[in-house]
Amino acid sequence: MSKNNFIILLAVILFNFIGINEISSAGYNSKSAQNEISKIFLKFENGMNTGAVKEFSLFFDTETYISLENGVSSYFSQNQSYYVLKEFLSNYKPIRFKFIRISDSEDQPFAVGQFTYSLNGMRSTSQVFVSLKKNGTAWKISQITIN
Amino acid sequence: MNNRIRNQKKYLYFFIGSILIIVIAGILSPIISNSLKTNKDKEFEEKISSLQAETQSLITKTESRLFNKLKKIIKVIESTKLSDQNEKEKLFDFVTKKEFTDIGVGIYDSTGHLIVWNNNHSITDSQLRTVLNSKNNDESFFYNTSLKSYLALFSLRKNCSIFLSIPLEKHYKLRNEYFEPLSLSKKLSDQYNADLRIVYREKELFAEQTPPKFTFDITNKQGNKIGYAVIEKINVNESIEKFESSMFVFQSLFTFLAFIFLGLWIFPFLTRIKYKSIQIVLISFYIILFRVIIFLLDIPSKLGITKLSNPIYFSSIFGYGIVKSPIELFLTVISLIIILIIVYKSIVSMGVETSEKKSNTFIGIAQILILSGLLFSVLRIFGATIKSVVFDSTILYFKNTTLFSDLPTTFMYFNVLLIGTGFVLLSIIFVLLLLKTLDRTFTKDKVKKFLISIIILEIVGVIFDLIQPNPQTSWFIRTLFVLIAAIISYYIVFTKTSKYSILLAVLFSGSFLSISLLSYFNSDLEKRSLKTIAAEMSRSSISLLEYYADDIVHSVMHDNSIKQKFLDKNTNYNSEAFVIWSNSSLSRDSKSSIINIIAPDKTLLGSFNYEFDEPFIWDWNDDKSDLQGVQKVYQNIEGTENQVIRVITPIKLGQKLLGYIEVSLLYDVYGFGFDENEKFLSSSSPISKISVNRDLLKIFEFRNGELVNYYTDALISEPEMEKLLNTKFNQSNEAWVNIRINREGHTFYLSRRKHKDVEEIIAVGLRNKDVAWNLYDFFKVLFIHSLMIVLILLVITLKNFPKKSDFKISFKTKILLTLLVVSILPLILLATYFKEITEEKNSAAVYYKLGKRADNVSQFLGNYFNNSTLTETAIFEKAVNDLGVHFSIYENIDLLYSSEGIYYKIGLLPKILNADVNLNLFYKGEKEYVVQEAIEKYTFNSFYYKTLLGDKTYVIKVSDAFNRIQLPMTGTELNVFLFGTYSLAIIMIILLSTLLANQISSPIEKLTKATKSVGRGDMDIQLQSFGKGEIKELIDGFNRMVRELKKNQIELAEVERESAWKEMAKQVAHEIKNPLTPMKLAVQHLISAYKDKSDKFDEIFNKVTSTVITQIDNLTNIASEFSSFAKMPTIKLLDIELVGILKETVDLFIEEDCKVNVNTGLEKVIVKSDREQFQRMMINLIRNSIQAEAEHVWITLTRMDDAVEIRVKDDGKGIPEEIKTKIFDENYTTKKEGMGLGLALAKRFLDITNGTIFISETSPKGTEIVIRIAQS
Repeated sequence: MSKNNFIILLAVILFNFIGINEISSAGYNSKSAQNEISKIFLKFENGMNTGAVKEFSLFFDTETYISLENGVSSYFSQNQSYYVLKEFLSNYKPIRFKFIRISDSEDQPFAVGQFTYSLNGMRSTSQVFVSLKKNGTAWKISQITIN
Repeated sequence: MNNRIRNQKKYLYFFIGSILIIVIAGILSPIISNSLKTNKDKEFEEKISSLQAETQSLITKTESRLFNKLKKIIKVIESTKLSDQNEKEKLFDFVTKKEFTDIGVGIYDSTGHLIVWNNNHSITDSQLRTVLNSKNNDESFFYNTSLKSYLALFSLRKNCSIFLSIPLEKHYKLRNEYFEPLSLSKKLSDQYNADLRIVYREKELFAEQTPPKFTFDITNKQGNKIGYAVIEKINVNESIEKFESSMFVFQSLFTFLAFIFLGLWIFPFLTRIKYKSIQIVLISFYIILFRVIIFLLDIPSKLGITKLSNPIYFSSIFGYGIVKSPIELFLTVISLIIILIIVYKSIVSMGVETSEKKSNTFIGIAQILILSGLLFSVLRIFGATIKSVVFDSTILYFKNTTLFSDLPTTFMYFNVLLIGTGFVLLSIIFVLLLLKTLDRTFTKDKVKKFLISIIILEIVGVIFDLIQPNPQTSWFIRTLFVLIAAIISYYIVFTKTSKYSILLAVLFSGSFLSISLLSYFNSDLEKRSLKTIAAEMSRSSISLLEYYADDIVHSVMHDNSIKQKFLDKNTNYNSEAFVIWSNSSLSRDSKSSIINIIAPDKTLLGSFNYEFDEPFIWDWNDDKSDLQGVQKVYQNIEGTENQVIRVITPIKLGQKLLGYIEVSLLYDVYGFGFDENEKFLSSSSPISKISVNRDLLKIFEFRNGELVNYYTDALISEPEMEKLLNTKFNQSNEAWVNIRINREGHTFYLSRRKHKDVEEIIAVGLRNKDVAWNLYDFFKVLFIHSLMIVLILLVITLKNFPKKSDFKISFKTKILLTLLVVSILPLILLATYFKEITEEKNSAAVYYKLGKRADNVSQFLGNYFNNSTLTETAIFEKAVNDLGVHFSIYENIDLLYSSEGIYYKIGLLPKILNADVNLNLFYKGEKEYVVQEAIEKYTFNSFYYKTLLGDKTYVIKVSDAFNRIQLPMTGTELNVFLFGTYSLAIIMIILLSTLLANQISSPIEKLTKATKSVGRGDMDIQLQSFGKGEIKELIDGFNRMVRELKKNQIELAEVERESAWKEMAKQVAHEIKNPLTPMKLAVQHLISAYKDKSDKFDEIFNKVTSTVITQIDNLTNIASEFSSFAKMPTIKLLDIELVGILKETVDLFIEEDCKVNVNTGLEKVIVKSDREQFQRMMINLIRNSIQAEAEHVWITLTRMDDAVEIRVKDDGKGIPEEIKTKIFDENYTTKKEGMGLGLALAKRFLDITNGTIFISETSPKGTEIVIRIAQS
């Protein structure tokens, strides 16, 4: 092989290597973002099932919009969000919670679920909407609506 | 002592009793719970019948009210000629009275025309005709509109008919503060813990697929069924849950009480602990444990303090939730304050100035640095706490312009005051320790100590700020904090300021500092709110709207009442659409949407739209077949990026199609999401709950550099626009910039986002608050805190002076109060008058502007009515568009047209003319009339103008609900101006008055104290007088009087002493003579016997010597008796309390230049002595020190094993060595005046009372005298 051909071959291999790396890392980044989003939704689901807000309280944004069945509807700080939801779930005792639709697209991740609860000993259901937003590099829960 | 022990023991018994009760309750609880479970069925039946009875009872009561009102109306009608206008006027007056506030009244003539009504009249003529066909006369029945259900009554009389109604249920909701909920179903459901639905008709128009299990009929007075109730769900475990909950509360309360009794029992033991520090630690531990127990048992919410336990007002995860709500925060802060008060009292009692020798300099410097560091750590924590109060709360401390808000807000203001007070107290503790260290290490001079402490603290403060990554306060607040702590500490230590004054200073300083921090962080919050507004504007997403649409469709599909409405011929479908919308999450979030109700033939029956006006088109399918199932479609709006989500669902009864419900939501990709609709319809959206005044907001939306949308009352100039567009954004596409709009500074938050080829920038800005606003913000909270402080002082005063007779207001306080009342009262009257005048002017301005608009509309319509071929409606619409005025127009009493027709269509506003207006325009002959109207609790002004157009009379209505009226000074701005500026004036008045009161009362106070000292025997007191006038003359006269008294006392004592000595000498001479005579005779007899050499010489010698010895003994007795007689007057030995007496004594020297202190860690010391003599002795010793030119006297009281030791140490010129031993001799003195008996008398007194006195040390730097008294 001539010198020139060797250099060209080397350059091709190098560029391919870089390209594959970039593609795979981009894919990896996208996949890791989706994993993170799914993880958050899973933690939310688990927390809502058991009434344990601390399962997902770490993922509250600095200001989270919370709109609840009991009429509460406002933006709350991280600290407040924890207790507002805890207070809500202490009255609306969870029987079952399940997401019926999850969209983990990085554009606008959201999930819709059905929440079955017992209020004053009487069973009822509500629809739940949760959306995430990126704050810096981390995904955070930006909105929780329970109707 | 025995009583005390008995009292202590009772607390122990109570504690044990409480524990026993808890245990017994714990044992019995499951037993009772089980027995309740077995009785579940019976209880269930009882509950159902109870609910039934209660429902019927409420209906019957309402029915009775209707009949009562009917009787009254009939009585009035019977005495009224309905054909007479004047008589009708009286009837109008009658039915619009307050007693008919919640009752709708409509009186019809014999032809069925409405002639008299009030503003609650709920039925139209056509509706009435329909109703009457099916209802009996003089029988109540349920009457329904889409918006409300009523209990109604119709009565047919000879010449008229009367329709009355009382609303029982509202079927719609408004998601704002104006809505007044009304629901009989909900009221009963809540009361009985059930899901009860009342059906306000005799029967449903169709049978439900699954008939409800539990129903009961509702009957009227005549026993006829008018409706029924359905129990959908009921809590069968309610009694068990209630019992278990009550038992938990019961046990929690007893645990709480047990802990209190435990504390009361052990407290006396704790106070007897020798070492103060151990005492404090143990007491603090108890208090903290107590607090933790209250937290773990969740007592506040168990006691039903629900509002204050609600975390939406405030919550923080700090301390595992120990501050998770306003009440928990309060309990935590109060516990800490109690501990701080105990520590503070201990430090103050130990004193700052010591007589100890200087400590090591390096240790001293280390202590100073540590204390300074701790002080600034305290400040940092203070800042962080207030920051949490601001950011972890939905309360807007400065946004609300009313002084007295709701309970949670007022309570949080109180918490803020307590937090400030606690931190000020803690800082004072550190400064006192710092002063003590300076005293021990560097200097005794008080001014030097004070200045050095401030300098050190300022330097350390600057360094602390530099090393902190994120300071929690500003430099100004830091400096203020240091100065306040230092100044208050100075007054505590170096002056004799009363405890009340110190308490007042601490409370007000706490308030001042905490408000300053609140204001500091509030500006951060306002800035963050701009960010929140930008986020809120982009919170909507297509997925969220889809969720809302799915949610509505899901709920309407399963709602039987909607099916009923389709079957009811009289349904107002516009109202129905509004009801569906208002009950859905669309209204909660104020989303641009339309609800359409469509007939099976695909024609529109009715609709309601919210900020989304699109004409109805059926484009779901082309053919005539029915739609099967839910359909959803996304439609793009031409020329924009916007989308409309449309969802439709068929409503079926079995297989029969009743109609369709269609929901359309607008997804405005670049939309503001900003609710510009009328206030009474807008939801209390997150933006309304944000900490900024909406009137000060400005929002601009740019797309690819072009301004496309805005919300502002003033547009920005080109250069300012350029500044916004050219701002540098950070990595998160955010930026902050300051610009000027209309010469006013504004702060803007910018958010940038890119969507395909479009770059969008949202700029949310806020006008910077001017001085008046800042003053108002500050003084509003300060005013509220002041009221709270007054209440606290009142409580403390009542506690300290339970008997009214014990309570005295000092002369200084009386002068201060007089000055304040005289100055502030006129100020308040002036402010009130100014406010009233301005409000009157504002009202007049509103009426004038509305009137002008009405006039313009009338002229416009007049021109077109005369000269145009347009239809009436077209002319009205043209008037709205051309004039830009929203109005309604009535022909006679019926609404003909409204630019806000939707509200009339749905029934929120009545279509019939306002009764008051009708009365005034058509009966009293007025041409125009202004009235205040309301939709729910939202009030607005309406201007009605009667006009002739063509040949008909119309009434034009213009209101400020739909027409924005600019006022020169709004109510808010007025409050801000008045409160802010007048508060500043009041503060200045208070400061000046305090200074004046002090100046006037100070000489009188000195005189009073001096008089008391004279009364206690101190004749050396002399007051200094400055200036001229009556006070100087009084003081000079007093000084003269004291000098004279002293002179007379000395002379009298001299004379008495001389006289006593003379008398005594006489007595002694007389007494001595008696034994001397027999002695002389005896000796003479002996001499004679010796000379005579008598045989009986021995006998005579013995006899004579015996006689002489006996007489010598007599002489000795005489001498002893006289010596006893010369002793001091009788001493009364009683138990006296030394600490109190010492403090009282020291108080007498308050006006002296020499500083006299009592240092003791002891609360109470009891010895057996004579109170008066003891005090006189102490006065004497202090006076001696003063006369020895001492600047300080330290009196230390300590307990020894079997005695109490008092050390009196001064820094006077000392006692020379040569006279040290003579100092306790009588008549020995180094002073020019006086008898020199002081120390001698002291020694004699102590000798008698089992005490000792001696000089422990003396030098030119000072003297220390030690007194020891045996303990009783």
